[in-house]
Amino acid sequence: MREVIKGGLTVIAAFVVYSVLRHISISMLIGINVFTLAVILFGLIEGEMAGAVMGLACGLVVDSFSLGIFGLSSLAKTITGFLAGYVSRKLNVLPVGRLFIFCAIMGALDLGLWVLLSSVFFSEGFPWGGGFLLAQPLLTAVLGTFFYSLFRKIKARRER
Amino acid sequence: MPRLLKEKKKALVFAGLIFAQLILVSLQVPLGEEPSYFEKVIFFVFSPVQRAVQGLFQATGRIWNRYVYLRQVEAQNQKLRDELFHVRQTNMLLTNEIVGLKERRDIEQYLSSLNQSFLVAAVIGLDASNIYKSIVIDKGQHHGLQNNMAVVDSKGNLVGRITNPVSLRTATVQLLTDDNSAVSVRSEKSKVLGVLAGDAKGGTCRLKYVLATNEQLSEGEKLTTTGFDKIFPAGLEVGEVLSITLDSSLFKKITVKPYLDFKDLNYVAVLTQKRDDVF
Repeated sequence: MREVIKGGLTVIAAFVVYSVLRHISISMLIGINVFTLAVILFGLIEGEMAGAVMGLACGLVVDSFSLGIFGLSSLAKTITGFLAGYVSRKLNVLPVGRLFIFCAIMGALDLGLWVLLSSVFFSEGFPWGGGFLLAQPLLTAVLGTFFYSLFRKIKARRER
Repeated sequence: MPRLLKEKKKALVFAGLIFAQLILVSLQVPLGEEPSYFEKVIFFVFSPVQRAVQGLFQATGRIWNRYVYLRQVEAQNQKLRDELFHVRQTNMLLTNEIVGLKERRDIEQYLSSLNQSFLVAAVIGLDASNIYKSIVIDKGQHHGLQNNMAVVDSKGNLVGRITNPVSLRTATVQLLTDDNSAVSVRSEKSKVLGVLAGDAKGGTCRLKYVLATNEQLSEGEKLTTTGFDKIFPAGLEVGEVLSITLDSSLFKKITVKPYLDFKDLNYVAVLTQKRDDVF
């Protein structure tokens, strides 16, 4: 039950941040995919199943607020969330450098899956946004590394 | 052994989730543009969050404007007074012109219908996966909004049309730049007809179905709606021709820069009378 509440609150928090970003900068909205970030972090912290379910929930919210095909983002994010949890259990991604590369790969995977599903299978256009879209994995890596490192520090302090 | 079973169970659940989503995607095919109830419910549940964030930003903006920028109020007032003067003059000239064209009773009816025919709405969200596809506004069914109502920006340029999902207090607007949008347009000078469709890539549009043999259309020409699509009223400014190229196809490849500006898209006006009701 606690996990469900935690997951629900994460989705709402991601949606609030996404809504706030619109008011700050549109380029930022393209460059920072808050939902992908939430899915990767949840997968890292809670494991592959929680990551997949978080991917499903975040993806469905994204799809509801998009005119694209309902279920495309959720499909990409479910796979990303599952892999984020699964790979992080198999490999040691705790050092900052590795964590950065891991988040960048996961961000690129999510973007790549979405582009593949939307433009290859369903012939939908995707927003290059003057190249800001390509910055998405990098920004996801920067923010993912920062927030996960912060989470670990807080957790370590609490355990002490 | 139990670990292996646990791994298998996880893989099965994951496969189940993927399968369920593939079913979800396939279920949309017979629905067409109509969103499923599931999608509508998520939209209905989350749109108040966007309204709340918009409200928060508006409140913060009001406080900022009222208390921090008080020094600029005098200058702004003067500027607004000047603008109001010009607007009044223009309004007077236009009213005189209308008076010269039609009988008083007709004009009164026309003006009163115009007064009721639009509704100002605040933009509370952009499309979550592709910002060039749609926006979410803070007016919905409760305010009389329906599918296919035209939406314009503060300068009267076409933005798009109302599309599903429309909830009680929020609605989705399909933008001109969406690749599934289509607007019948005419060039202002050469009167060339075409269909304007978005490319959903970088905020530009394509003007389709202009024959390669057409020599009249030139770069920089303005495009306005024709009204032939029975959705958008005629005469709304849409954008201007950015580039014209030729390839091996029967039609020219024309890129159009729409007037709709994402950075300035905070408020829009919905033409609440459908085209058929006006004309």
